[in-house]
Amino acid sequence: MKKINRASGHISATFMMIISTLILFALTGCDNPKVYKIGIVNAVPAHEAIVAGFKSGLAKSRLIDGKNITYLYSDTIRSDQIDAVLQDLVRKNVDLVFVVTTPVARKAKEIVMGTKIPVVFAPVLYPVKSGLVESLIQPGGNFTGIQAGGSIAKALEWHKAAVPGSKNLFVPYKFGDEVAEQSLAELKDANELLDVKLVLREVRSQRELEAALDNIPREADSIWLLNSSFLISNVDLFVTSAIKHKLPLSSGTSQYRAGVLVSYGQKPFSTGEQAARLAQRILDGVPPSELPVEISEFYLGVNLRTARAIGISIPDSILLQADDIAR
Amino acid sequence: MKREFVVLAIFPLLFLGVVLAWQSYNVQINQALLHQHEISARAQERIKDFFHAIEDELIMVSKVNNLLEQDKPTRHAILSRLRSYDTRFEHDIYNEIILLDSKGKVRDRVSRTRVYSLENLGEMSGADEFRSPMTNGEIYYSAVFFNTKTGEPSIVMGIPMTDIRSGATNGVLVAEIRLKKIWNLVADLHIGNAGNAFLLDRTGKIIAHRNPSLVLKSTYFKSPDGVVIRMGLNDVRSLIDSKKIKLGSQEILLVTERPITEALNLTFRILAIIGLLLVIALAGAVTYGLVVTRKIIEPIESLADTAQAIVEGDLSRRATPDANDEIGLLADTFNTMATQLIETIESINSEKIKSEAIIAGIGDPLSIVDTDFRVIYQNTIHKEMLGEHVGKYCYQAYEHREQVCDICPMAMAFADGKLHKAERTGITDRGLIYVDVTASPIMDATGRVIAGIEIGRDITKRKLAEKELAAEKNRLTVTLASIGDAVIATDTGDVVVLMNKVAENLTGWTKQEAVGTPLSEVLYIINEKNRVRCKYPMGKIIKTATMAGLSDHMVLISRDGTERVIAESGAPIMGDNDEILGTVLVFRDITEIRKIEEELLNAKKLEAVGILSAGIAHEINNPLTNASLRIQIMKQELEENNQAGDFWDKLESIEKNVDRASTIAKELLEFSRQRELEFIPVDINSTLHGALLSLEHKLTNIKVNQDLAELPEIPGDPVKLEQVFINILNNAVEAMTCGGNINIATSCRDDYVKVRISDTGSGIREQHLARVFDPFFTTKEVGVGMGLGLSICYGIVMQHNGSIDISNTENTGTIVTVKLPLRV
Repeated sequence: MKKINRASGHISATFMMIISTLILFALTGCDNPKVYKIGIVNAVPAHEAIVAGFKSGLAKSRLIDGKNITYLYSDTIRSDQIDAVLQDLVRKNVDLVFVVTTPVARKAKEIVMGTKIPVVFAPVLYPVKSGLVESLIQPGGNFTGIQAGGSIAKALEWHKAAVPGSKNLFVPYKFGDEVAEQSLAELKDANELLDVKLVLREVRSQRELEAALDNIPREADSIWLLNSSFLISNVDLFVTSAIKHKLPLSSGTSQYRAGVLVSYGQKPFSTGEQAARLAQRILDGVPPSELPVEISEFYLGVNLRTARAIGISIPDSILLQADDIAR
Repeated sequence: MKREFVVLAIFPLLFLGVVLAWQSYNVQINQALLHQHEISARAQERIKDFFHAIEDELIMVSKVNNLLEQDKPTRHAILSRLRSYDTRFEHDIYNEIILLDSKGKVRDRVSRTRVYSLENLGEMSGADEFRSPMTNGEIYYSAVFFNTKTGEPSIVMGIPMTDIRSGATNGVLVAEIRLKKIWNLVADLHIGNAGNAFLLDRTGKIIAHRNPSLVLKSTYFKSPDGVVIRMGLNDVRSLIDSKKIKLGSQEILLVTERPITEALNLTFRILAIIGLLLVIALAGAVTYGLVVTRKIIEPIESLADTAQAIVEGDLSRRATPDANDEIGLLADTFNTMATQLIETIESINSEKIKSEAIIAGIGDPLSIVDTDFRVIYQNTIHKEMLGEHVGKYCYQAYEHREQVCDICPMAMAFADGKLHKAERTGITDRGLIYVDVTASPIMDATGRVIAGIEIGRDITKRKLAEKELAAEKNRLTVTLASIGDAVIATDTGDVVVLMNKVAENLTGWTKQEAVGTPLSEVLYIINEKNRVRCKYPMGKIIKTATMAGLSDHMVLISRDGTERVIAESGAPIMGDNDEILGTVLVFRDITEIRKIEEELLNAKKLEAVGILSAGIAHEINNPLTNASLRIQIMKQELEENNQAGDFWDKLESIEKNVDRASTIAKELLEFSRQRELEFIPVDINSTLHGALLSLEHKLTNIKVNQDLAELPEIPGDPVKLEQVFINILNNAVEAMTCGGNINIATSCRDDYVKVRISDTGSGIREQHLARVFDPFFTTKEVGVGMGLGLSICYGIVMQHNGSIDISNTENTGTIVTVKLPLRV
C-alpha cells in the first residue's frame, strides 16, 4: 500500500502572496526627473534668433526652461567675454554647451577640450576647415552641430537678378577673419561669371568700417555684406549706409530681416531648432561623435522696406521665388 | 491525497484559462498585425504622393511651357521659378534642374547652390537620366545616392518632354531631388505613439528617418518581408512592416515599426484580465477544495493512516469515527475487519509453525523461492550446506550468475506447473558437491504459481564413483588404442563389446557400428587356399577357458572387400571370481610379411636354377659344338662326294635340332649370367623406343600406341632395362598372332617411374598368373620358348629395386606394369 503523504498544500495563500507582490512592484518605481544645465555662448546680437530657435527646439522636446532645464548665459555676451564665459561653463560642468558662430566655436574647442562636456555649434560655415570636427559625417570628438548652408555665388546671382544693372560691388572685409576670407574667395570665384566687379575695402575695426561705409567709392553701385561675425555684428551700419547712399545691399548670410535687401542663407530660427534636435539627442545619451554635422537649410529673403528706402523695385519674378519677404 | 484533490480542482480551470489566454493572444496578435499593415499602407500612400506631386509638377511645366521653343531668358526664368516652387509637401525640393534637347545637349541649367554660364553648358547624351526617358518615353528615377561630404541623399528624375504638335519626345527635363525634404514628411507619419517610419534604398541604407543622424551616418537596416515581430532599428522589440514603393525602375522601401509594448498593449491587457480572472477562479477552487478536504479527505486520511499502521504491524490501532455519517460507518466497518484480520493472521501463524516443523524435519536440503527466483526460505540442512541466502536471488546465491540459469528446473516448474529435476554442483566447505535437485511449483487456490520448492539430495559419493569408473574406462580405451594389433572383445554371447582403432581399420567396421553386433558379422575370415569361410572358435575358448589360435592361411575380408592375410589368437576374459565374462581376439595383418617371404623364396629359386642352368649349359654346349662340327664335316664330305640324297636331308634335320639345343644352352647361360649392373642416368622413354626398334620387324600387323609422359632420368642399366621391355613387348607380339594393338604409357609419380604395357592378345589364364615369373614356366608351345623371359625381367627389375606386376583379363589382353624408383 502506498504511504500516504500528509503534507497539506495551502496553495491559494502562497499564490495570492506572489500576485500581491507583483502588483506592488508594478505600481512603484518612479524616478525624480533630472534638470539639465545648458550653457549658451552667443556674442552676435543678430544671431539671437538662433538662440531663440534653439530654446524653442528643446522646449518642443519637453525640456522646459526652469523645469527640467537651466540655461546659463543665454543672453548675448560681448566678444571679449567669450573666454571667461566658456571657462565658467567648464567649471560648472554643464551638461552641454551651445555656441553660436565660428569664432565662439573655435574658442570652445580650446577651452572645453579635455573635458567630457559636449558642444553643439550653429551656424559654422566650415566646421572641418575650422578644426571643430574630423568630418561632417563622423565628427569624432565631443563637437557636433550645424554647418551654415548656402552659396555665395548663388547669393550674388540673386543680387544680379534683383538688381540687373549692378556692376560694381563694394565689399568691406576685416583682415584675419577666416570666414570672411573664405566668403570673399567664393565671391571672387563667381563675380566674373556674373559680370560684376568687386570694390574691396579692408577694415580693422568698427570705426574703420563706419568710415568705409561713409565713404563708399563712387564707382560702387551696390554693397555686399560678407559672412563674418564681425561684419554681421555691424549689420545696422551696412543697412544705414545702404539707405543713406541709396545703394542696394545684398549678402550670402540671411540678414534680410535686419534690413539687407537681398540675402541667401540659412534661417536663424530654423538653424537654432535644428541644433536643438542634436542637443536633445546628446542629452538622451548619444555621444556627439555619433551625430553627423547637419547642414542648415537656406532661403532667399527680400526686404521690401529697404527697397522702398533706396528707391528700387524688385522684379516680381524674384519676389515670386523668395522664400520670405520683409515688407 | 489532499494535494491531488486540490490539483484536480484547479487543473481544469487552469487549462481552460491557458487555452482562453492563448486564443485571445493569437486573435490580438493578428489584429495588431493587420493594424500595422493598415498604418503602413497609409504611410506608403503618403510617400507615393510626395513623388507623384513632383512628377506632376515637372510634367506640367514641361508640357505647358513647351520649354525648348522658348527664348533663353524666358526659359531660364521658367526653370528658375520651377526650382524655387513649393510642392504641396515641401519647398526647395530641387537641387538642380537641367533641360536637355533631343540630342542630349544641355539647353539650360539652374541650381540651388551653383551658378552656371548659359553659354556652353555641355551635353548629357550618354547619361541614363537622358537616354532612358528619351528612349521609352517614361519617367526615369536613378538609384538613391548620398553626398559624400554631407551624407544627404538625393535622387535624379528624368521627365520626357513631348512636342505638343507631334506628340514625339523632343527633350528631357532632369531634376535632382533633395530627399532630405522627405524627412519631415516621414517624421510626421503617425505610426502609433512611439512608432517610427523610415525609408530604405535598395541596399537597405536609410534615406529618411525622424532622426537625420541615422541617415547622415549611413545606417543600414535589414527589412523583413511582410509584418513580423523582431528587434527594430532602435533595438526595441517591435512590430515591423515593410512596403515597397516603386519609382520608375527603382524601388525604395518604407518600413514602419512600433514597439510591441505599444502595438500589443491591448493584447497584454486582455491577457492580464484573463490572468486575474483565472487567479480569482483558482483561489475559489482552492478554497472549495480545502473545505472538501476537511470534511471528506481528512477522515479518509485518518482511516488510511490506521490501515497503514495495521499494515506496518500495529494491529491494536483502530479508526475513530468522528461523525455518524457514511464515513463514520466506514470506520466502524473497518474496525470490525481489522479484528477479523487479527484472528485470521493468528490462525495462519499457527499453520505456519506446523508447516515449518514439517519442513525442518525433512532430511534433505530444502529451499523455497518466489516467482522472481528470490530465496524466501531455507531449512537448516540447506543453510548448512549452501549458507544463508534468504532474500537473495537463487541464481546469484548458488550459481554466481546475473540471470536465471539456462536450464533451471524451477523455471521449468514455474512455466508448466510440473515437477522437474536437475543435477547441480556447488562449492561448500566440504569442497565440490553434487546435488540432485527436484523443483516443484507451489500454487494458490486458483492454481496460480506463487512460489517453488526445491529439494536437493547430496549425490557427491555416487558422482565421484562414476567419475572414477569413467577414468578407468578411459585409460583402458587409450591402452587399447595404443596397441599395434587389432583387438576385439566380445561378451559370452559372441557379441562385440569393444574394439580398438586397428581393428576398425582392418575390419572396416567402426566401433560404434560393431559394438552390439555378432562377431561373426564383423570378422569375415576365409581360408586363403580354398576360400572357404572359417568360424571363430568362440565356443571352444569359452568352454576350455584357454587361449586358442586360428589356423594358418586365414584371410580377413574387410567391409570394402580388401583381403588381408592375418595371424590371430583368442583368449577368454576372466572375472575376479574366475568366471568368464567374454573373449578377446587379437590379430594382425601379415600380408606384407607373406609377400616378402614369397619374394625371398622366388629369389632363392632363381639363384638355384641359375647355378643349375650354368652347369647344364656348359656341359651340354661342348657336345653340341662337337656334334655340330661333325655334321658340318659330314655335309661337306657328302657334298664333295655328291652323295647328298637322303642323308643330306637327315643331316639338315639333325643340324637344326643341334642348333636349337645350342640356342637353348645359350639362353641358359644368359639366364645364369646375372652380372652386377652398372647404373647410369637412363631415359626410360628412349629405352622403350630402342626396344620398339629392335622389334620393328615383328610389328607389321600390330599397331603400337604410345602415351609417353615427360620423365626424369632414373638410375639404371640401360641395356638390361631395354632387355626387360624387349621381353615384355615380345610376349605381347607373340600373344597377338593375328595382329592387334600394343599400348605403351609412361608416367611419373612421387618417387618412381611407371611403365604400363598392355596388349590386346589372348591374355594369361588366371591360374597361371602366379607363376609367370617362375623360371622355365611357359605357356608357349614346346620349343618355342624356354620360359625364362619374364624370370629374367623379374630379376633385372628387382636389381633396380623396382617392381613388376602382371594383371590379366582373359581374352582381352595382358597388362604389365613396371615401376622403377627415381633414386636407388
